Amino acid sequence: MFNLEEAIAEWRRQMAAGGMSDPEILDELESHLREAGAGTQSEFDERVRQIGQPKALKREFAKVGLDLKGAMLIFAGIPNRYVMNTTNVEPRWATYLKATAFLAPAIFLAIVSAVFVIPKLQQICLDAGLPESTAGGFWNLTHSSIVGILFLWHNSLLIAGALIALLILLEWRSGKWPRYRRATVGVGVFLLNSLILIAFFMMFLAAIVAAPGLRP
Amino acid sequence: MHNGPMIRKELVAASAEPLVLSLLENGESYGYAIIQDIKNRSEGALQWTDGMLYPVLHRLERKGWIKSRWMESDTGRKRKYYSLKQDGRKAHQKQREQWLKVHSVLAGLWKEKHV
Repeated sequence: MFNLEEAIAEWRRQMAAGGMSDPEILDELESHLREAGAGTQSEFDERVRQIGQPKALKREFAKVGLDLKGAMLIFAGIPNRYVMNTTNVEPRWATYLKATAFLAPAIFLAIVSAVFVIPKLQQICLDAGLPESTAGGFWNLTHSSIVGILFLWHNSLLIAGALIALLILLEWRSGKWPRYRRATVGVGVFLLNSLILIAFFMMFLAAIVAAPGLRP
Repeated sequence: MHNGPMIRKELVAASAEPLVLSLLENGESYGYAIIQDIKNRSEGALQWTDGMLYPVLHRLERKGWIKSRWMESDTGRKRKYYSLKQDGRKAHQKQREQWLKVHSVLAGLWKEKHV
C-alpha cells in the first residue's frame, strides 16, 4: 500500500545522501511534490523524476551563489544561509554547546587578563606617569576600554546571570525563539568574541603608549 | 498539445528569467503554479525539469528582483510564494526590451527572405 509520507521521507533521505541537504530547499521541493500529488508509487516516482536528480540540482543551486548577507552569516559561524526555516531547527543543546565552545577561549583569556594583566597594566601606566583620565585624546580611549573591562569583570556574575535568565525566559515563553535561536546566539558569540579581541588590542595599545614613559 | 519540435534547452534556459519575471508581474505565485503556467502557455513546447525552476527563483531572489514568503494555503499546505520587487520590475522591463529587439531583427530578416 502506497504511503505518501513514507515516500517523501525516503525521498528526503535520498536527496540528502546525494548532497542536497539544505532543509529549506528540500521543504520547497517537498511542497512541489505534494502539489503534484501521487496516489501510487509509480506516480510518485514520476514526480520525483520530474523534480530531478540531487547531483544536478546541487550543481544548479551551487551556481546561485552567496550574497553579502549569506557571507556574513557563514562568517558568524552559521553555515546554512536559510537560518529561519521552521521545519528543521537545530537542537537547543547543540546551539548552546557550540556557543560555549566558541566563547570559552576568549572568556578564559578575558578572566586571566582581568585578574593578572590589567592590574599590571594599570601599574605600568601609573609608573609611566600617564594620568587616570584626561579630557579627550587617544589615551582616554584606551583608558576607557580598561575601565570598561574592569566594570564588566566586577559585575560579571550579574551580567552572566541576567543573560542566562533572559535565555531561560526566551526558551520558556517565546514560541518563535527556536527559529531565531541559532542565528541570534551565533551573532552574539561573534560580537562578544570581537569585543574581547578589541579589548585586548586596546590593552596592547595602552602598553605601547606607556612604554616610552617608563624609567630605565 | 505542441506538435512541433521541442525548443532547444539553451533557449529554454535563456528564457527562464524573463518568463518567471513576466508571470510574477501578474501577481504573487509559487513554484508549482509557475511551472504549470509555463507548460500550459507553451503547450508543452517548453520542457523544464520541474526542480530546475527553483535555482532560478533563488537566483532572482539573491539578485533582489523577487522576494519570498512561506504561507499556508486553504488546504493547509505550506507553499513558498514569490512576488516581484521594484528592482525586478525594472530588470524585467530591460529584458523585455532586449527580447523584443531580438524578435524584431529576426522577424525582419525572415520577412525579407519571404519577399
